[in-house]
Amino acid sequence: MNFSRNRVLHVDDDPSDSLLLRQACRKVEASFELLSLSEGEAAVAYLSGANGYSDREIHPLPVLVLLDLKMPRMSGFDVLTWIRKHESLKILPVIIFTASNQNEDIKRAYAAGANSYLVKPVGIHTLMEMVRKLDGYWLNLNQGVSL
Amino acid sequence: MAKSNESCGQRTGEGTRPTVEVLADGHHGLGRGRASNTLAPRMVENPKPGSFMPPHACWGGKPIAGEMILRKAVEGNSFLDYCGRMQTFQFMCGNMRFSKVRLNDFMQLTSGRWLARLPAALARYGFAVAVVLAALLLRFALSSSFGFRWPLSFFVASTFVAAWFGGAGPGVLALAAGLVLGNYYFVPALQAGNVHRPFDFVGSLGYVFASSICIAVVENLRRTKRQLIRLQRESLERGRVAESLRQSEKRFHELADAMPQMVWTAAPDGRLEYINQKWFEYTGLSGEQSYAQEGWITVVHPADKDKVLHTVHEALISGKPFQMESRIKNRDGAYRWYLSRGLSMQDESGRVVRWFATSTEIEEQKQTEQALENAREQLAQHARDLESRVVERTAKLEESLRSLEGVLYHVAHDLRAPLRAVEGFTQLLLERQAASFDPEEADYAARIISAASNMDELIRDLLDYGRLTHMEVPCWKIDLEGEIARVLVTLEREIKAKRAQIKVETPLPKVRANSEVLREVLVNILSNALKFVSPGVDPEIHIFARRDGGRARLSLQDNGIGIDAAHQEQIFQMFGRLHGGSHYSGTGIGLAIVRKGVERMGGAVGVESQPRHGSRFWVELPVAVETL
Repeated sequence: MNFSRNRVLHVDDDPSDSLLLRQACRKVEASFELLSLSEGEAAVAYLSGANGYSDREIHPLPVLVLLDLKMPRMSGFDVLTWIRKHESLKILPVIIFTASNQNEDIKRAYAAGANSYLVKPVGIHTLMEMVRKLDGYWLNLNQGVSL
Repeated sequence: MAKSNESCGQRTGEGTRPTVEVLADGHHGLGRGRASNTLAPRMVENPKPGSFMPPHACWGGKPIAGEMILRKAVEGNSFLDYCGRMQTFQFMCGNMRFSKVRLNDFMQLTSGRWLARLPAALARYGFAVAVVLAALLLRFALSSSFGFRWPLSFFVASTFVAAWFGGAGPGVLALAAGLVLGNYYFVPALQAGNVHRPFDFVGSLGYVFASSICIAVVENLRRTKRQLIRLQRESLERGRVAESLRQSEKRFHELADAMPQMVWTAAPDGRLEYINQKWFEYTGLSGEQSYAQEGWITVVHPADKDKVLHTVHEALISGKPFQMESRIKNRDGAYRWYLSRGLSMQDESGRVVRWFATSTEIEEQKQTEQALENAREQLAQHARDLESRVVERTAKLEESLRSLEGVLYHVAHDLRAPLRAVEGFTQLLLERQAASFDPEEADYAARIISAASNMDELIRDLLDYGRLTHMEVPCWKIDLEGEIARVLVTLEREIKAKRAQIKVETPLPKVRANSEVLREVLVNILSNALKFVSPGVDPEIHIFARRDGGRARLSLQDNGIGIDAAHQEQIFQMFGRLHGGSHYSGTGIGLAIVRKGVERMGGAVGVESQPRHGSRFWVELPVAVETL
């Protein structure tokens, strides 16, 4: 286990999509470690260090959040809004990763402070390509700030 | 005129004797304030020579009124018995005028005014001379009785007569002639010539004195008479004027009473002077009530009172015509609408002398107006209702459409989630178990993946088509060359895979379009051109454009399998597929998207094709206006 690997937080209520994304990351040998959470509430708890996520040794802050929009109870928009309101997290890069390509959703996401907007593809190969590019750009090329 | 009138009958020397006629006919004097002028006597030259009508006959239409007025006119003058004298004067006046008419005839025989006046003066003086001569002859005839006593006494009489008929001038002439002749013929000493006897100084003095008194008295009488006649005429004229005014007033009242409207006249201060019969009939008010200070306002509807009073007061101050509508109560207590109009009559100086007003019933008109207004209001209400109902329905429809769209999107997205899983896990399974699958199993897995992909494509196309229908399509200037180049990059992989030859004929015009929609249109057409070729044939696509006025037609010619004329319209319809999935795969939505997209950009799309000879799809779009 490599502890120095960057952590990417993936929030999605669909376990199939989470599994597919994990498989895709594994197949392209992504440079980051993916943590999938199935609820918006869990994501907020993780980011704020509550509910057993307080140990940052085990649960370090992610360098990137992949956020699904359509989730029960706390939606992706709610999580995003919460992040952008949180003083220490407001600069955390958040990429929307959702099935919707509706203009309204896209506009609303950017307005709420999303850094990028990706539509889930049908086809594992397209997904792998997407992960590869995401890893290359956001985890390597892009200059981030450590929180 | 006054001078001529004054000399009536006395100045015999006057050649042109005007006759006075009072014109009373047809003048009511209303509306002009010039009654005194219009009714003034008019002078005319003798209308028919020789057929003179004496003035008293002319004036004498209403002798009693004339007398009364004359009495009034010379009131305070106690010198004369007015009535008696007047008759005398009239008689004399008539006589004199009779003689003067003769002179007038003579004047008309001769030519020229001064010529006519000369014989008249000569006649007056000649008459004086004749009278003196007559007195001389009479004195001679009676000299046997008188001897040399009273040598001048007869000449006093002649002077009097000469003055009476000829005026002061002839009188003085007669006086002088009598003095000379009397002294010459009837003073004995002078006649004898030998006895120096002085001129009968005392007698002459007495004679001159007596004659002068005669002349003075006669002259005075003449003047008084002249004055009287003038006064009489003026009084008669005034009487005539008053009478004619009274007549015209009476006529006016008769007329006004016959009118179906209410008519009234008022003094400049608004005090009512006359109200016609209709008012009393309608309101049932008494004259006392009506003529009282603003008594009429009691029958005006309370709601209209202030407005009416305001209008009337305003008009009384300004003197300008007014008009107003008000409800007036009838004798049964019911109100009816009346239109009142008032006009002021002004004199020459612009001062209001009288108000004249009418009130016309406009109840029916008002009711019609009201009905019309009600109808209009009702119509407007209906229109508003309809409008709000339309707005409501539209809102509902939009709402349901929106929710339907939302449902559609959700369904579409949720439909894609299992597809991702099906495709993804089958792929993973296939890859991991590749070694253990027999060819048949591998084929099954491939079919699952392919079916999932197709379904995903179908859903995406459906979503695209739906989006095209509802999205806003703002159009601006688009460079076709650049747009086609970008589309070719998008399709690069397919083009290479099919080993297609694509020739673009430049330059291409700039058009007004929406870049996103145009690209979708071109991708669909080109994909079809790449797809629908006979097996073993490499696609060849020729792209070119022609400008036709304000439109540009972009043509995409391929060497594909072509389309039968019977199906050329069908292909643009939703799911208008001509080929089964085994030969050429597709969703059957591509060309429907093309048509929808082009239509949304204000263009047109079509195809010219023959089976096995390729197809030429064309897209017509408005040419972009060149701006500097």
